Amino acid sequence: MGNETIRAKDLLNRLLDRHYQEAWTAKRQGKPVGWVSSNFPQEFLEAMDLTVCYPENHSTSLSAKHESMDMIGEAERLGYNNDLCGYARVNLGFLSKGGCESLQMPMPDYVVCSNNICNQLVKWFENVANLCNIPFIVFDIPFNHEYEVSRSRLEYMRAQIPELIAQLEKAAGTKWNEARFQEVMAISNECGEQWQRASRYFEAVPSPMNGFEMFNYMALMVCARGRRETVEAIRLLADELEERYHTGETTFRGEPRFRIMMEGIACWPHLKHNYQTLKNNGCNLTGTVYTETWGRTYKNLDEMLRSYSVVLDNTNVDHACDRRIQLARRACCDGALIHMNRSCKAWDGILYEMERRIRSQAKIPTAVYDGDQSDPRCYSEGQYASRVQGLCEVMENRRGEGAQ
Amino acid sequence: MSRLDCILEAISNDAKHPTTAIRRELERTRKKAVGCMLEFCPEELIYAAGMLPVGLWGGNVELSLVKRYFPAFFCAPVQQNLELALQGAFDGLLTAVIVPILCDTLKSASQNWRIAVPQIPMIPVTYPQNRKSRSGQAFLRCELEDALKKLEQINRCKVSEQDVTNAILLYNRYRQTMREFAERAAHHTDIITPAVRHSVFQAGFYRDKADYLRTVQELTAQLELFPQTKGRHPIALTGIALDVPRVLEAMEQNGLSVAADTLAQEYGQAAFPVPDGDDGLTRLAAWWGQVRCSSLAADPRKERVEYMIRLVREGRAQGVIVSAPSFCDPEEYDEPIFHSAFQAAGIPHLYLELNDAPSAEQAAARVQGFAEMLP
Repeated sequence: MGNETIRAKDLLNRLLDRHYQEAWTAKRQGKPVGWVSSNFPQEFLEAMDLTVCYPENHSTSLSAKHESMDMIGEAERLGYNNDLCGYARVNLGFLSKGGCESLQMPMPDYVVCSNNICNQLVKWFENVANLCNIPFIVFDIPFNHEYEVSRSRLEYMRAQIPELIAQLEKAAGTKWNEARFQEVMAISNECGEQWQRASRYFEAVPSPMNGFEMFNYMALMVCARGRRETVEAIRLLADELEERYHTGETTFRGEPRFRIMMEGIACWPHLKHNYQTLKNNGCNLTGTVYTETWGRTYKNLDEMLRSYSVVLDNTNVDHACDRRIQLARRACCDGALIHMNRSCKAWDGILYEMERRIRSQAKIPTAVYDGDQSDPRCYSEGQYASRVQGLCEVMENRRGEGAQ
Repeated sequence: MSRLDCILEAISNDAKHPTTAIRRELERTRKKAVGCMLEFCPEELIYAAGMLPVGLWGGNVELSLVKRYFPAFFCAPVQQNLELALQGAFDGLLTAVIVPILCDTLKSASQNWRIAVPQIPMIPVTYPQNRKSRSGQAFLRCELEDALKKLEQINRCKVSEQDVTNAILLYNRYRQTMREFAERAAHHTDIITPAVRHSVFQAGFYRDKADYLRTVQELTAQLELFPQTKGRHPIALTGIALDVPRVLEAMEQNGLSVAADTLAQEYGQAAFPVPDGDDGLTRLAAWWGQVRCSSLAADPRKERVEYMIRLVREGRAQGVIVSAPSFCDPEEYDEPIFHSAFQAAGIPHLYLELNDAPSAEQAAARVQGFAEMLP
């Protein structure tokens, strides 16, 4: 009985629960709790043993649990425009209401953010800091208008570190620990390696998984990728995928006729409909840059900083397109389903160009649908279903042409 | 026609017909023009490189070709600029364009321009968030240095430190001139109506500043010859731009005059001189650290709110209009903070999203409603 096998999914849920429990415990003990943006270099925070929560992750959960509209309604009542980031509206609504039904998160004592995802994040966290009258700490990771990260960007990121540490020490009352930082970097690397390993099976032919499952594990990569237990959870996931791959099993229910690359942040409020529609059309999700980005590995501080600089929306359009094209080829995708996510201007502003290049250079058909990462009003089940059907018809025809 | 009328008519013509004004200036100065996409461009660098900086603030154009690049829900002036470029309106007019990367839309604008308008080179400048810190300013200095090198290549010239210093000197004089004009204009609201005031700022985007500052100095001096008047409803403007003729006209029709503004298109860029420092590029980088009261310059204290409230409390304005293009997320994040602060302070406040002709008519009606709330 004592040797009951733990599945990666169970471990995932346990660790995610623990993440929020730890934050609440810290809050009860009077320790400062920070709110942090998801692509902030967590290595600094983990090395200082800070207790933090990730509002983007929290907004994702509320969106998937169909509670986002309550929060969005509150934010819009306060005057937040409905074309602002859905995660921000959910979070600012949550902040105003002081809580929610499905997943409580402690209120912040300081906020920490990076703008490598988007500049809206800075405005959003600036508002949280203003409304709560708490420290606002920004680690600036400027947009790369060149293909590679320039020397001036790297020097700027490096130069900010002493100030960042000083601000964190002041806000959270803990001291910098260089030895622990090195240890956290090593753990984070292991985590990134295991994530890459899991991603290779996610993209494998045949894929041993229903690709939507990767979204669940991504939450852990956001919240705790510098922790030993996360390494173990992701290693377990990769082991399970490896085993299924070799036995020819898959968690995809149905006949996987087409392999789909999904572009854009997940449409969390309608994820079930997204999945079921694809499944009913024999489509399995086998590639997305959205999850791929968490497979971060590096050998030293400079490489770590570079890895945070080239996250999805912080690269120039050529770099962004190449990343997608390489993924589509590597994962042998038959088509790409592209989310025109009403929330995300940083992504949408070059989405049409990316769609054209994916189509012409990866030589796969594409379909674009409207939706939102949090706001359920922006999505139409009918439109999504018809776009998926249309994509399937093109993929089917191409397959037929290829067979002739 | 009086001298004042002549000056105002010339300014108004330039503001209404930017292409004509720019072509005339290019012919007169024998310079090439470099476009500045919206706000906070390092115009001094263009000037130091012997070229003419010209403002690109969109225009009255139907969006068609740009739909290949931007979804509908993006900032109107950015889309209009790209539409005009795609239609060829800037061919033969602009030698290059600088895109200051201050928000997410300007990031994609830089990328889309580079792809869609290859005949007009695009020079991006990414602005730091930690703009007051030494590291942020050192980074911006590198961005400006890169931009200057590209400008030198484009104009086949070598820019000296003295050239940059001279350009800063000129622009600081220009900013001071515009501040003096704005101060004086608030006391002559019968002559300097909202539309006229806007045109004085706007025309500056299409003129050689060395020449235009003399025009504005003369205008300010002319105003001093007239008795002072105080408008029925002096108000303060803030936001990005309020440049829609129908709305400016509605302001005048409803007795509104502009007491002060922090609009990025108007006073916002004139408010702060480039500070002293070791060298020109360092000084220009430090300038960004000094900008205040802008949604684009990170500020957790939201000092702009306090400033606008102070304007009203000091009796200079009766209310505040915030004006921005539709889908301007930096302004949209500040708006709820404004809303609750103004409500708590009992200050009338109107938020205008200006986009195109239909939204202008609606905005004009809202201006009328706003005027009725004023004391």
